[in-house]
This record gives sequence, C-alpha cells and structure tokens, in this order.
Amino acid sequence: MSGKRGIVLLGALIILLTISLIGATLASFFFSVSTIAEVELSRAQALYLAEAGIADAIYQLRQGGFSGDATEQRVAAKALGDGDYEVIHDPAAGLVTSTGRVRGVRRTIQVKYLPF
Amino acid sequence: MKRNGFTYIEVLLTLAILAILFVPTMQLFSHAMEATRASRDLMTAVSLARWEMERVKNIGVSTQRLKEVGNIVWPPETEDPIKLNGRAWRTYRTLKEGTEPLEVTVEVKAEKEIKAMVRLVTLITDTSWGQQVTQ
Repeated sequence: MSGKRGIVLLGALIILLTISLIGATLASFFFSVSTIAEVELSRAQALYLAEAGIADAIYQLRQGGFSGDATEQRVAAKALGDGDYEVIHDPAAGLVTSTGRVRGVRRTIQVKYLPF
Repeated sequence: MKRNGFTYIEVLLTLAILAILFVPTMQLFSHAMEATRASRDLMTAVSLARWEMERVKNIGVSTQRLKEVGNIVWPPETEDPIKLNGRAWRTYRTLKEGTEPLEVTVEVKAEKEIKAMVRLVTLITDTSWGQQVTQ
C-alpha cells in the first residue's frame, strides 16, 4: 500500500493540469480570433478613410487644385468617422497619396493621374 | 489499516482542490465561447458593411443621383432581415446633407440591437470631368 500513497491526489492534479492547459490554449486561440476581428474592422474603416482622402483630393483638383508649393502639397489630417485621413499631393508627378488611420491601423492608397 | 485513512483524506483534499479550481476553468471556456460568438458576429457585420460600401462606390451613378435616392435600408423594413451566421441583419446607408464631397456612412445592425455593430464612413465624389452619369 505504501507505494500507492498519494496516487489519487497525483492523478487528480494531472487531470486538472491537463484541463487547465487545454483551457488556456483555447482561451489564447479565442483571444487571437477576437483580436483579428477587431483589427479587420479597423482595417476596413482605415481603407475607406484613405478612399475618402482620394475623393477629397479629386474634389479639390476639380475646384482648382491644392494650396501649397509646387513640389508637395499636404492637406492637414481631417477627422472622419472613427479616425482621420491625410492627403499628400505631388503635382509634378501627378501623384496623390492618401492615408487613413483608425486606432493605430493605417491604410495608404496612391493614385497617379496624367497632369493637365 | 491505518494507511487506508490517508487515502480517504487524499480524496477529500482532491475534491476540495477540484471544486476550487474547476469552476474558474469552466468559466474560462464559457468566456472563450462568448468571445468567439462576438468575433463571428463582428466579422459578419464587417463583411456586410464592406459589401454595401463597395456597392455604393461602384454603382456608377453621380453623387447627385445618390442624393436623389437618399438614405437606404437593406433589406427594407417591410421585408425580413437577411439571415447570416445565425443572426438577422440590416444595413443602413446614410448620406450627410450639405457635404462636398458627399459623406456616406454605412452601418450594420443585428436584429433587436439599437447600436450599430459596424460603422464605415467615406467620402464620394464624381470622378468624371465631363458629363455626369445619372442612371
């Protein structure tokens, strides 16, 4: 009998440890899934803010162009929705760069056009 | 015979440890399942919002035409909401009046919830310099 002393406690602790390990692994997995979903939302919001910046740039070009020097024209960050967007226009290269930012997520779109 | 008593105490001790530690472990599972459900709903709502936003951006009509059509609920309130991943959904497209470029907001709400789960905002302008497409 002396060889079996503590065997029940040991067995129970092993079972509990196993369940805890499975639980911790699952919790970690589900947390990462949750984080991915939230980042996906931020990425979508940032993308449409960047597109908003492009639309703003097109509108300004149609209205006669940006203010600023001829090499780089920067539009101050404008708040929209849950974030903001920033636009940089390079008239010499005919390049508009727009960056949308939401909760630390950034998406950038560049549009090249033929200067006229 | 005395040694059998030690095993009995061990069983009691084991049950006590299990009782103390098993409940939080099960709660962990419960919270994990709830988080998974919330993530699935959020991903579904993001997909619906993106679908509606891409639709309005690529429908090929002028901003003037969009203003004439006005705010849109899809599916309309008179119809059943769309059922996806175990929940019922509606998308709401709203235009902010007096904005140039036109500010468009797409919200996705799950049925019986007041607050939108997802909200996407963008600006839309006419890309044609010539005659505008009106249809």
